[in-house]
This record gives sequence, C-alpha cells and structure tokens, in this order.
Amino acid sequence: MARDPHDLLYGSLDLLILRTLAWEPMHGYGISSFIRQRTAGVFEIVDAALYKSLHRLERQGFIDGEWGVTDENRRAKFYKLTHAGRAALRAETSAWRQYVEAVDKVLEPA
Amino acid sequence: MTHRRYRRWLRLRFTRARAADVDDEFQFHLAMRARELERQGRTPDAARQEALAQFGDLDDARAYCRAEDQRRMREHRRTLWLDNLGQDLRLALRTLRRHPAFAVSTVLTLGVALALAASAYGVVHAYLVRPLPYPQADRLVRLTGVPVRGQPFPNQPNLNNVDWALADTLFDATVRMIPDGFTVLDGDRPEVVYGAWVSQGYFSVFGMKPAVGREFSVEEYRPGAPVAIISDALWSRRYARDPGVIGRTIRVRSLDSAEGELVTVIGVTPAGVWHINRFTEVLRPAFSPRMPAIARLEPGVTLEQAAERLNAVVRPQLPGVDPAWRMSLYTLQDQYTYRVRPTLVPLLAGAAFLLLIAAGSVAGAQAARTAARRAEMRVRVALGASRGRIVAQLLTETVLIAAVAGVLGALLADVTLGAVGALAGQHLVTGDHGGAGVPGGAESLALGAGRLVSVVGLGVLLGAVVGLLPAVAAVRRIDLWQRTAAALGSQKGTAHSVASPAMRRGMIVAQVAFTMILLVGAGLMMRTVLAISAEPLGFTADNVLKADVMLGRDTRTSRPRTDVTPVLSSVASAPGVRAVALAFPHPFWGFGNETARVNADGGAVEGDGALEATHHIVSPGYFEVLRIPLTSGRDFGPLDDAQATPVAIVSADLARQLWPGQSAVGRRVRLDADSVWRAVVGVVGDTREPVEVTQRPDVYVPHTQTPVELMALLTRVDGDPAALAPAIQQAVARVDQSLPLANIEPMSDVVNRDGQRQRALASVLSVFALLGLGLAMLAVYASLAYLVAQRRREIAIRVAVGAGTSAISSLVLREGVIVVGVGVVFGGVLSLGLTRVLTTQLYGVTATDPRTFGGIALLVGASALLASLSPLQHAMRVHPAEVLRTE
Repeated sequence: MARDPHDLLYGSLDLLILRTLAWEPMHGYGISSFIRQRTAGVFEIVDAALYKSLHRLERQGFIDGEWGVTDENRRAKFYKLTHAGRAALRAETSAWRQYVEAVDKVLEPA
Repeated sequence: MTHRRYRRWLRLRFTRARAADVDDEFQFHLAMRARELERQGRTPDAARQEALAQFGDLDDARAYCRAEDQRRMREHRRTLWLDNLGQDLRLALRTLRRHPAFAVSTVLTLGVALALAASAYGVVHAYLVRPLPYPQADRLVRLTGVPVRGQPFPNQPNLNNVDWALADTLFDATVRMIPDGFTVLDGDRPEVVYGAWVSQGYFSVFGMKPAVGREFSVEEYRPGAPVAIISDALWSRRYARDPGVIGRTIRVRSLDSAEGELVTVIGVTPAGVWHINRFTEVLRPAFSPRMPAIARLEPGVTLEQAAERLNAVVRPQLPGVDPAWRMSLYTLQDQYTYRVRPTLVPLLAGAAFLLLIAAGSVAGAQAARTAARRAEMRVRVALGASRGRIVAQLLTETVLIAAVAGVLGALLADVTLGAVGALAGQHLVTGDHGGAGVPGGAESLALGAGRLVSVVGLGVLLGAVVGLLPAVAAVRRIDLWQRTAAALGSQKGTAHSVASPAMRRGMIVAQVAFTMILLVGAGLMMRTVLAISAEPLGFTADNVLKADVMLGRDTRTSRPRTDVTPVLSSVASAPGVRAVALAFPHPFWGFGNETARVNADGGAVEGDGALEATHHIVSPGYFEVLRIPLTSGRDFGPLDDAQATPVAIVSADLARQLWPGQSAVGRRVRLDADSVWRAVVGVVGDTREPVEVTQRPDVYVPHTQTPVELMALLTRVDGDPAALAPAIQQAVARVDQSLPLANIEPMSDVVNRDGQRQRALASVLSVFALLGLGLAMLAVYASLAYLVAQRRREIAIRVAVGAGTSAISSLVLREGVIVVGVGVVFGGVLSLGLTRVLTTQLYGVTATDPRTFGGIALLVGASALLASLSPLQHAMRVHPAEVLRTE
C-alpha cells in the first residue's frame, strides 16, 4: 500500500494515545515507544503528529499534562487520562469496533 | 478553595511561568530516542540525526503545540474568572442575607432616589429631547415679528401690509393659524369653543388626517367657504358620535360676526392625537394674506439662514422700520418649551443631587461595613486572597445591591412617572400664557424598555463607583496590615483602626454640600413664594366667579353688543349674588394684556413719551365686584353710554404719574386707541398683574363707549362661587339663549395661577432637600457613633486621668463640626454658582440672598447638632473601669 502512514493514523492516533494512557501516565517518548512495540512496527509513528495530538487532547481536557521526574531522574512531561478522556476512550473504542466490524463484513469473502 | 481548584490554580501559575515547555518536552524526546539508537550501535552524531529525522517536522509541531497550550491557558483563565464571579455572587448573597437591614435600607434609598431621578429625566426628555409628534418635527419653526422673545418691541412695524406670499417661497411649507372663538348655535344649548381659521398645509404639516370625513379641498381655501371640521370632543359632546354629522349644516358664530353662518361639517379630527393646537374644536378654512405662524424649513437650511432670507424679504417692504427690528424664527419645540425649560433644569438637577446624596449614603454604609469586616478580610488575605479578589468581592456586593435597587427604581419610576408628568404638566410648567402640557400627551410619558434598562444600568454604574471607594480603602488597609503586621501584634485602639477616615469624611462632606445646594434652592423658592403671596393684589378675588362670555355683534349695527343690561340684571337678581359686572381684561387675564398709551392734557406727559397703561373695558359695578377702592370721583353709571361724554377712570398710580400732587378728577386723557378726549371721572386703587408680567398703571373706560365682543362676567356671591355657577348660567340663559358662558372658574383660581410654578418648584425642591438632609444627617450620626465606638478606650483613659465632660464632648463635636462645617462651606460656594439656574424663577429675592444662605447654614448646623446628640451621650456614658476591664 502506497499510502502515507500519517494519513492512515490521523484519526486513530488520538484513540491509540488515549488507549495507551489508560494503562498508566506516560511521557510522550514513552507513548511513542509503547505504540511502536504494541503494533509491532505496523504503525510507523511520526513523533511530530504524536505531540500535536497530545497538546490538542490536553487542550480539549481529555488528558492532563504534568511535569515530573523519570526513573532516571530526568524532567519530563507526563500525561494522564482525565475523566473526560476516559469517557471519550470508551465511546471512541466502541465506535472504532463498529467501524472495523463493518469494514470486515465488506471485505469478507462471500 | 477546593482541592481541585487549588490544583488548577497552581498549574496555571506553573505553566504560565514556563513558556519554553514545548521545547523542553521535545528535547527530552529527542535525547531519549538518540540514546536508544546509540544503543543499537549508531554513532552519537548519526543517532541524533536519525532521531531528528524520525521526529518529522519539528518547527510545525512546536508552533502547533504552543498555540494549543496558549489556547488552553486562555480557556482556563476564563473558567477561573467565571468561577470567581460565581463565588463572589454566592458570598455576596450570603453576606447580604445575614444583614437584611443593610440590604433593604440600601436598596430602598438608592431605588427611590433612582426612581425620582428617572421620573425627572422622563419629564425633561418628553419636553426637551423627544421631538414633537409631527413629521420632520425638527424642521418646523415658529415665525414671530417680536425680535426679543416675549418682550414687546417699542417700534413694532405693522406687518399686515407685508406681501407674505413672498415669504411662502422661502419655506418647504407654511401654515397660517388664526385663532378665533366660535359659538355653536344649533340645538337648544349654544356653546362657546375655541377654534381657528387654518390655511392649506395645516393638515399635511402636522401629519393629521380627519378620522371621519375629509380635509378641506383646495377650492375651499377661500374667504367665506361654508365648511368646518370639528374636533372629536365636540363630535362626542354635541352629536353623540353620529357619523351622520358629516354633511350636516350647523350655525356657527365667529367672534366678529353678528349672527353666525351656516356651515357644513365635512370632517372630524382624530381623537387622542396630541396637538399644539389641541384645544381647537372648530376649524375653518382660511385664505389669508397674513403672516404664517408656522413653517417647515427646506431640507438642509439652518434656522439662521432661513431667518436671514426671511428678513431680506420682509424688511425692504417696511420703509422706515426701526433698524433693530427683525423677524425671529424659533424651532417649534423650542417655542413650545422655552418657558418650561427654566423649571425643568432645577427639577432634574435637584433629582440628580438627591441621587448623589443617596449614593453617598450607600458608599458610607458600605465603607463602615467594610471596616467592620476587617477580621474577615484579614483572614482571607492571610489565606492568600489577592487584593484583586478582595476588591472584586466587595464590588460584587455593591453592584448586586445597586442592580436590585436599579430594578426597583425602574419599576417605581414606571409607576410614578405618569403622576410626576401630570403634575409637571399642570403645575410646574404652567406658563403665564396658559399651560404647556407634556408634548405628545402626559399619557405618552412611559419610560420605555430602553430607558428602563438605562435606569438599571445607571444604578449598577453608581453601585460600582460607590463600591469602588470602600474597596480601594480596604486594599490600602490590607497593604498597611502587610507592612505593619510584624510590628503590631494587636491594633486595638490605634490610629489605624479608624477605617480610611479621609474617605468617609469626604463622603459626608459631599453629602452635606449637596444637601446644602438643595436646601438653598428650596429656600430661595420658598422665599419667592412668600414674596409673591405678600404682594398685595389691590382687589379681592375671593367669592368671585369668572366666566368668559362672547357677546358677539349686534345684528343691526354690526358693532359689538352692549345691550347686556337685562342679562346683568338677571344675574344680579339670582339668589346669593351680591354684584355683577363685565370686564375686558380683568386682572390676571393671562393673554397679552391690552395696553394703551395715555396722553394727558396739561399733564406731565405728552406725545411720544406717553405712559403705557393697561386698557380695561368695564361695565358699571366692576370696582364693587372686585372691591377695588374708589379713592375719589365716581364709578361709571348707566348714563355713561355711547351718546354721553366719553369718560375714563384712572388708577392712583396713573394719576400720580400724569398729574403729580394734583387732583385727577376733571382732567382729560386721550388713549391711542381712541380719537376722543375722555373726562376723568374717578380714581381707583392700584391692582397688580402676575409677577412675571410687566406691571403697568390702569385706565378704565365704559364698555358702552368702547364695545368689545369678548368679555368676562364677574359675579360676587355669598359662599362658594363654584357652587353658584349653574345658577348664574341659568340666569344668563333665561334672558339670552345665544350667550353661553365659557371657562367658568372662581377668580381665586385665576389668581392662584400666579406663582403656581414657583410653588410647585418650591415643594419639589423641598421634598428633595428634606430627603437629602435626612440622609446626610444619618451619615453624620453614623460616622460619630462609629467614632465613639472606636475610641472608647481613648475616652475611657481620658476620663480615668480626669478629663471633664467638656473635653470628651469636644472630642466628638470637633469631628462633627469639621465635617459638617466643610460641607456647608463647600455647599455654599457651589450653591452660589448653581442657584443661577433658578434666577428666572425667583421673585423678591436674589439668587445669592445672604439671609437664605445664612438661614440654611444654620438649619444644617442645627440638624447636625441633633444628629450628634446620641453619639455624644454615648461618649459621656463611657465608664473607664468597665472599658479597661473588658479590653
């Protein structure tokens, strides 16, 4: 497929971020690495897009960013899911599942 | 502050402080990624390169993220602000609920003051701001041949020979209105009504259309066209609103016709339409070459330009005219309201000052309360509330109070305005030539939604200003605490504890000063009223009934009728009637009084320098009816008729001026209206006219020798004259069916119109002034009571070390004297400037009358003493042992 991964990810990137933060608060680099590992490199994350999403989600009140210290004692901005973010994740996940099911049904051999 | 809000507040502070957050975040990311790549075996340089490459468009991401962060910050601040406002409002409501007396008294004080101010403004707006209810009302002007308003010009040219058709070409439209009195003669009951001959343009310029029937056609604007349009009132009264009246022929007699004309009613003017000419009940079409009364300016032409053009056309037609004489133009609104303006300005100013005093009271009360809440505020400051938050909270309280007061004021004003307007229309603005009702009608005086909102807005604005002062004082105090907190463990009885004394003193000084202004205004008006009523009339109006009677013309001679002896006898023989006479004019007649130049034979004055006297045409018995004393000679008698020697009676003043030190009886006078010399047969006492009118001596002639169509029937009766009105009407009707009486009223009512405006202004200003005095003195009392409470310790110590009562009382009184004294001085100085607006309303007293100023200052001083009595008693009762023990 000759499609730009950026394009492919744009709508679902928010969902992936929210899902990732549902486990535990994480900084941007952590989120980026986590998604890479979980999707086994299927999604090539463009970090610029990731940060844009993070700051937009923070402004929208779905996640909350707070400066903290990493295990290695470095300053980093940790994001965590807010109540609103959790609700959005639930809604978006079910919407995503419906979408995937619908696509599956179309693509399934008859 | 709840935990959540606290966190958010902290975060806001934190994030705002670090604008470079996005960079830090990206740096961290790149460093971590580079380290990971290094672990995979890249050189540090290559690792950094690749991390950057993997990141994507860094600049775009940074810009985007920063924009998002800033937007988030703005939204946060907004919610924080709204949260604060909600919190302040809840706190204010809670505080006010806990102090209902303060809340209620403040709302009432401010609300009533706002309602009064709004009502006063509503009246002023109706007269001076709102255009008259006519199309293009701003272009309607009044033409007058009197250069100085109201003042007769000494060498007035005869304007009847001017070709006014030339003037018509200078304007968009012109209207001629020639007033007349019509006697409606059809039916069994003749009636006298006002009427007018109107020219083409009357209906279109005033934007009026007959409600029933039609306007005059163009062909009907010619002399003697037998058509008439009647008013809705006349239609109801005489024709029971029968539409069949259109086309009916009725007999109508104008003032100078003998038997009247048969005219066809072609229309009825609409009801409920306010009109300058609204008393007019019969309109007849006029084609007259006379001067137009009203004109509409061409679009874009100014009043001055139009006046210049008019004079350029008129003056050359008057050879030998006095160079100082000019035609004058005034806008119709100006002309209608100029007599009213001098009373409206003090009315509005008085209401404004009362509002300021009320606002001062609210500010004083709020300041005292703020001072009493020091503890609360110190706690809040200690807990980290900023000065801004404290000010915001105090402001929220006063603005809330003021908003409620504004709503109350608006509601009250809507109710009171009608009453105030009716009062103003009847009393305040009664001119010497009849009243000037509210333009557009008193019932149109509603404030309207827009202005009601303005009233509430004004209230809120006042509340904000009024609340700002104590709030600023509180902030200053907070600063003081912060500076002195370490040094002073306690501040009991220290100088700092008197909360911002300068500001509260200033407030009271202002209140006393404004009260002083109101009192001086009211005092001057009262002196005026007293001076007017002390002015001797020279006649007795009590028990006299006045009625206008249109004698009309004799059908044979077509001269005004004089054969009224049977009518007078009939009235004289009615039960309760003492005496009866006819006169034109009687004193206080109201219209421009008829004057005559009096030439005397062998007297001091001859020719051009002749004295001007009021020219009265009277029947025998006039002096008896009005009890004007006959000092020498005799009254007119039945023998002084048209065939007898022309005679006259002069007033004592005229006699003195014409023949100083000599007897007037037997002398001769010639009046400029007459061609004959008249023998002076008697001298009577002087009478006066309303104080606003130029006072002149009087000359009297018998009505049989100088007949006139319109006269007043004056009847002296036993008891209440109004009660005898029907009997007198019947007595007249028994003898002559065609002599209806009009404008029947007791002569005392006519006389009372003199000074009515001054009386009304005096009462309104007195009410304002007394309300203001009450509020100011409450403020003085509160301030002194507070002072005594604050300084109990000091007083106790002084008493303990042997201070006498005089020392203690001087402590309290000094404060009162300073504050009130400064206020009186300020108010006095301000009054000197401001009472000038009253000058035109004053009589027998100057605007700077030292006795009034002194008396008012004494009154304020005495009231202040009264207000300080109770605090003084409290100060005296301070027991040193008790105070020192408890503190």
